[in-house]
Amino acid sequence: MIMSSATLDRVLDAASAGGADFAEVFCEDNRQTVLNVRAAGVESSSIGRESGVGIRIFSGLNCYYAYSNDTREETLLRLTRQLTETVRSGAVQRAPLGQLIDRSQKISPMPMSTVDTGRKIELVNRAIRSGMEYHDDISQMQVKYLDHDRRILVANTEGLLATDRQLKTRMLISAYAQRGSELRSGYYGPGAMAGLDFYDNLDIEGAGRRAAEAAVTELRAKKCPGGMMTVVVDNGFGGLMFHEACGHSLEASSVAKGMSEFSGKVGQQVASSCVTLIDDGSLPGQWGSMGMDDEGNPAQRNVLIENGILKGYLVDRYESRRMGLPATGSGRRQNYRFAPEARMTNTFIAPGTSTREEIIASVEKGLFVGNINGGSVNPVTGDFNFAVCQCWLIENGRLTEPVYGATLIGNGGNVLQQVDMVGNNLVHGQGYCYNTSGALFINAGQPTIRVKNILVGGLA
Amino acid sequence: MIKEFARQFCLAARDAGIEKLNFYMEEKFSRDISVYKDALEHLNFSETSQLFIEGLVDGKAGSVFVENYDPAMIPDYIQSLRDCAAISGKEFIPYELEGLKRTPFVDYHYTDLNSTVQAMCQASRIAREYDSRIDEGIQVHVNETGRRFTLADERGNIATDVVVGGKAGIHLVARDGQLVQPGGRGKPYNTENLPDMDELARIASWGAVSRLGATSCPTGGYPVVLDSRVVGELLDAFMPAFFAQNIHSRMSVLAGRLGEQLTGENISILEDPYMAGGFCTRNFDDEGSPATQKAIVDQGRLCCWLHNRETAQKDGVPSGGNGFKTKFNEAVSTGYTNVYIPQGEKSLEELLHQMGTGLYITGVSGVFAGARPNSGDFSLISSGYRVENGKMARAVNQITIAGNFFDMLKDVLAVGSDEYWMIAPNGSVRTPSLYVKNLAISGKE
Repeated sequence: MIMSSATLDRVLDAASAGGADFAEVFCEDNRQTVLNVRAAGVESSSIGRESGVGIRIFSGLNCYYAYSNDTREETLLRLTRQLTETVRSGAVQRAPLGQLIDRSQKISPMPMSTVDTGRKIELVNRAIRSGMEYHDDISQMQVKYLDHDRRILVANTEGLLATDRQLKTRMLISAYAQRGSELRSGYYGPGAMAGLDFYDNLDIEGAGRRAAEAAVTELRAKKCPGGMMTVVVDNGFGGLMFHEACGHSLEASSVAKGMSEFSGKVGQQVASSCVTLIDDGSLPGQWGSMGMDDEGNPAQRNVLIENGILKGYLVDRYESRRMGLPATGSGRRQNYRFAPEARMTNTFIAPGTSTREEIIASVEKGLFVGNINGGSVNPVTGDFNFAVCQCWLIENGRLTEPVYGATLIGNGGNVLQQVDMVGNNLVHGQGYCYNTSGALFINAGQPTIRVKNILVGGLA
Repeated sequence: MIKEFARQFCLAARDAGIEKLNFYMEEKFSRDISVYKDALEHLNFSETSQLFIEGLVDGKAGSVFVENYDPAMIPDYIQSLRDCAAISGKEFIPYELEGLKRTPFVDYHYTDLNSTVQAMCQASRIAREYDSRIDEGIQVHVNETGRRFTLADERGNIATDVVVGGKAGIHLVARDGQLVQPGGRGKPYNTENLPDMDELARIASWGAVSRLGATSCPTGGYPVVLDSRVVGELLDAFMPAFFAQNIHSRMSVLAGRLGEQLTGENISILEDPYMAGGFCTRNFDDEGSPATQKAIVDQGRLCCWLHNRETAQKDGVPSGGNGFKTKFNEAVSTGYTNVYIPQGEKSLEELLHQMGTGLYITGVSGVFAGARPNSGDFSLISSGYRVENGKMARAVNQITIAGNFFDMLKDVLAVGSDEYWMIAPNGSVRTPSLYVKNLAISGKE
């Protein structure tokens, strides 16, 4: 175990004696490798272990947090006393710690943390070579490879003692195409909660070509026009649109204080009837998955919107106090240096019945979005934006010319009502989400969908 | 604990044939306070000391990062360092620490907790009382951080540098029937006193209330005044285009353009590591190279790249002290200390008056995805005000501004005399407002 039961007991005792009505100790040891590789070789590498402890206490609706990588008991007790100094309550009784529960999903027999670094470089170089060979205009290929072997332990004053081991790995492949002074990029970034088996089953050369194709297409693209349009967002990481349009606005930190456009709307029609939005951290082996969240609760499937009706929110332990709702296995943090908050895991739109071809053919004039770079949202207003790539104009039901430099902007509540076709081809894409509790690994997935009216920000 | 760990590590490294070592340590003390509805809600403390070790193994550089100083882990760390060296193409460059300062880290202390919480609660009340449409759920945040950077080698040479500072901010919402508008204001500080929290509260409240009922505007080209905060976000986003590492790897649109007229003559981009009021004041960078003042762009002419030691060696120039880490557990890449666009002579009001009719952009978001340093292109969701007859007329939102950052800097008609400081992951920037001839705007009307 990462920390002895005796030390955990003493820290939790100190918190309870200091008046905390809930206290939690979070321990983390994360063996990591990050490699940045270009065509010329390894650009940089980072190998090591991230390791520390976070102590959290509640007193009513007050939450106090301390963290350190100094895990000596005297330091942890001092930090705990610092936290309880501002608590204005007497000592509270706590439950004794129960048996250790291991909540890990099935562990790969070959974690990447045990694979020789040279072997990892070979895998990466396969993607780089195939990308460089794809087209003469490809001037550079870069791969950011990472693997995490993360072990966490959660102990709290409700008697929970639980552990999880999460193996994550990803290749973020970037391609750069240049002609004269014009430089454009494309990317593709497959990842999973898995070991070497993930790469044995991945078409690595195909992944490199996919990134290169995106860059070359951007290079020959013209500037995207701006204005209101019908937009078809392809399957895969295009699901980030819903991650931004409504996912963040369904997280408890916004909802609980009435700072979300969806506060108080459970049971109401918030999207078109063809939209069902699910967040599921228990999906086997996915990039955003886990055995338990960072508060010790088992990961679970949460249906957030069903046929357009708002069904619930993503709730962590702290905000569950304010909201009077149970926690949903969504308490996440980047590492011990952050207090957990309710965050997304693997968020996706359930498949419908249309085909991609039918959806494109239905558009007289609009924009086809192949992928999304990233975006952001203001949960209060629901205003969101994302930068898109691999875009094509749609004219009379056909993809005609590639365009670049587009941004999609809108309002979550409004855009959800504008979805009027949902494809049958659900695919998950991998990415990162940044918020107050740090950077997290997330899936965003969807089938091909049609949004009948959305503002496209263009360069033309 | 760490000294003993380092001593044992040096011995084990020598036994393992690792000839030279660079130690980079970052110690950090931090306190975060949040006030919600006029009362203390969150209080966070942290103490961390993180170590990044580079070593010379068989003629190549390897590295490992460490947070657990249990000596029993040393063999594991040594193996990781060797694994890293085996795949590395990097040359080991030892620190040159002689002559560098050892800045003392006098027991780091925060502002008094009770006084700070009182000031935050008072700011919250002022914000709420500013206008009846301000929602009671006001959040006020103060973060104070002290960081000490220590460089050392296996011979016991040591240099230390210290950066201390704080950030204060207020976030609130204005509501009027179905209309909702967030507002906020933040300010960094590096004195022992908080900034004027009451003033932040008033500005945040005004911003939210004045923007209730904001609407979009028609798509088209517009003359634009970019607020100093927006210019700061853009400058920070495009600074990587000046990094030599991106020039060398053909990932910057500026490659091959040294010496050219990049922007208008009324624009310079300068760096000053010792700038009064600067928030990233450093004596040396994360490789021990002395930080230096430089003109990156001088009256429009592109003068230099930002180098770390590796890129400087390639170009045969001295490192200008821009070798910085983004995170402690990664190798040095490139960053900067205090970068700024010198102010002009016109106040913000004079810029709006000069423009007459156009848009005043006060906020952008999604910069990390919508700004591309490799091409200079940006397309960002924005908000602000329509300007008519030189005055703010009505609030605007749900628009994007788009263009190319370097082309835009050729079209600056006037530079403001105001300033905005922003602390960014790569350094700190100070920028004025800019009146730009034309930007592409996409809107709904």
